[in-house]
Amino acid sequence: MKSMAYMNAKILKAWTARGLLMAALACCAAYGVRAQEGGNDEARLRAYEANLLSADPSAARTFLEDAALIDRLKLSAPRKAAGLVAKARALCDLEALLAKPWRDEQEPELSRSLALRIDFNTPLEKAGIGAAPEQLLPWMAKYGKYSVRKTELVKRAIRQFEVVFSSGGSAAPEVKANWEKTTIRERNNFLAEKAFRVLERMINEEPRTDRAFQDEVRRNERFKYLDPAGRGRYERYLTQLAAAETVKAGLPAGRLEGIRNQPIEQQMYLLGDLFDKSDVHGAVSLERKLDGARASRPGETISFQNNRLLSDMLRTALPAEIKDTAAGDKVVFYYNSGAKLDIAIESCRNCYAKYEPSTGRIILDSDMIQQYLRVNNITTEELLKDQAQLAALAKYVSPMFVHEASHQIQHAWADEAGLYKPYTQEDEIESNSLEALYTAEKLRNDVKFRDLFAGMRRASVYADQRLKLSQRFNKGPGDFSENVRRLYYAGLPSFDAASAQILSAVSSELERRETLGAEERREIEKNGASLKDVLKLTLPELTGSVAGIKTQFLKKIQGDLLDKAVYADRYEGIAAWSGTMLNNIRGAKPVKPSVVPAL
Amino acid sequence: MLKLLLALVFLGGCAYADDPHTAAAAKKAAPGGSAVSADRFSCVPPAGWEVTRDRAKEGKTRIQKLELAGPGADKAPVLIYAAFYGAGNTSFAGYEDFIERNSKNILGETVSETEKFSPVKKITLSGKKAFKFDSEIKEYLHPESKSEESVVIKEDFYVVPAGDGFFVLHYYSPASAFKKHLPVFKKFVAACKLR
Repeated sequence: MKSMAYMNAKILKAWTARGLLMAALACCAAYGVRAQEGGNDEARLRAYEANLLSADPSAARTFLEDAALIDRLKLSAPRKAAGLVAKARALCDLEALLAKPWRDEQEPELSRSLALRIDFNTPLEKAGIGAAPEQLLPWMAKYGKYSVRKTELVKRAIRQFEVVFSSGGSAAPEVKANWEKTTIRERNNFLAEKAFRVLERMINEEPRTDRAFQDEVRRNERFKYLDPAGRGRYERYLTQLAAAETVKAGLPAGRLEGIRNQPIEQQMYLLGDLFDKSDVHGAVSLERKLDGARASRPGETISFQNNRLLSDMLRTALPAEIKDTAAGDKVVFYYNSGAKLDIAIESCRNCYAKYEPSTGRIILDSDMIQQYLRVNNITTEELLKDQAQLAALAKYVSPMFVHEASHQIQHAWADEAGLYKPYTQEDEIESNSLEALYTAEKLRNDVKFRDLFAGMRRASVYADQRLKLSQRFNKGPGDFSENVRRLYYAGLPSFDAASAQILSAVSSELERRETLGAEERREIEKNGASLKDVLKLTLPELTGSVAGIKTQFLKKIQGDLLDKAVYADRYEGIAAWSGTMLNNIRGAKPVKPSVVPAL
Repeated sequence: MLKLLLALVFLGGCAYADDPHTAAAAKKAAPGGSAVSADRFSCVPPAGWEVTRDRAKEGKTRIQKLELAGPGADKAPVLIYAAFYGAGNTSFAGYEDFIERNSKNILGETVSETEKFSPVKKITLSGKKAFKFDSEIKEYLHPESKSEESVVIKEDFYVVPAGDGFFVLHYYSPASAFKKHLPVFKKFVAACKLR
């Protein structure tokens, strides 16, 4: 037995030794491979760097696909990894942006998209595209097979001198030279301001409202340069002109004395007065159209006191309204988990609602609510006293509430994970999907909601837009993300574009920091911004203030954004969830619409 | 000797296990399982039209889709889509579901102030049972804002059921350019081979 045990021990020892030897050899081989990889890495990196320096987008794609190399580089030289990834992501993003089938009248959106990417201190500038916008054209000619139409569209979008000033030939050479030193952003600001001045003059002075004049306003090329806020005012002006003209056509000439020579806002007030005196026998829909298009009179605005009361009441009514829907329950669960819901009613300018991360408030547009009250002939006082009326208003604003609450949830997710999350198209894809899903479910299962929107869509663009958004989602959930990117939020950066800009700014700053003296570095580490403050910064604020952020937080942001999967998993998960939920909801039997709309 | 070997094994093993590349590659290689293995149709794009196809998305959605963008038109693009929706795709339960959701507005109406949907007709397309319908819809150009600027879009749909999914041939155009490019779409439909 002893000899047997001895033999076994010997065999075991021999096997163990052999096993360990084999394992050691395998390890040595692995080391050898890694050493070889190291050698290959250097050669590959040099090639990538050279290609990225010439802004070659196919090299950028190949580099980003080389995940093994990037992962090794992240460990050995994180700053270099961040710089190269930023440049590569920015090039791929630019290529993808220009590959989209932009239509001619999307010139303002394309211009805003390019302005975000081609500017000072962006990764594209480091790749030699910008900040002078004209540098984009030779890059397009070298690397893309772009049609003549698209190249011409890009020339208009970057506000090329010859395109903007068609009489540019006679301009002094220094005017053109100075123009070409400006960025797209600066050119757009300049042109938008000039266009708005013309629009303002028309609104304040011009009494004409006829069809010929409306066409003249529509054809005015200058107005394509208006910024989104100016564009909103321009659209409202057109609506007012059309509404005033329609109403005036139904009135005897004698009633128009004292009205027709007034600027548009005064005409709208005076025409509204005629309806209120009830001796004008027009269709109810005409009055609703006029009420929808005009501004509120002093008595129709929401007083400070009533505003506070209404905001408080909506804070209770909105969660109750959205619960028992797939998207709504997600939001309600979030607030029931201890998150604060703070509703405010304020002017939102060219939007219907917004989430304000700095204050944590969801702001509902006061104009939208006042329009609702005007169209439905309700005063704020009546609304506050009548639970049914308040519930109807909660229904009306609930799709936007779901949308903005989802933005609040996005911020909470990033805060909880301690991540910096730039505001990107992906956020809007998520929020719009949730809003569209919510609207689709409510239209299917809540008769009052359905009748409210069916009635309001004729007088309110807000109501019609909510229906159209949900319809687009319902028609093709698979295409919805691309629609949101291309049609709705072309002026927002994609996650790739935003992360590329941040990585580029951060890696440049870390490089600069190494050249600083010890005293300067100590100063930054002592007084630099804290992580809590940094996480609240917007994209331009962050890229513009990297010099004042502590090194450890810059490195943290760099590390977070290099690991794209953390963000991508969340975005893809939510979009897929909304599509699946829509199918689940559609599986249920719909309610029958009532015969007469409630309004 | 054994101690030396053990030390080598542990050191080497730890170093390799920590390689982030290994983890990342494993995650990336996780089976999607939903990729459509082969193209189900072949179509001839009209000359001068830009063709785009997102193969990465196709794998995730089980929807093969070609987008063909035509010449620029008034306020909206002129587009042709050719698509195959595989069984278990992420968007539609089947061809009936596609037709139901695209031949009515979100309120279930076929006529409203700003929309018009034709009845769905049964037809034969290249010897296959198919359905045809069209629509005319007012679309907002800047739906993210308060802008009322809009364009009327006309669309034509051909839906062809298949054993393991269905095909959709779809023409999308602003009303002002619809007639001009309709012959291009008809020629495209006639030449498409659906497998």
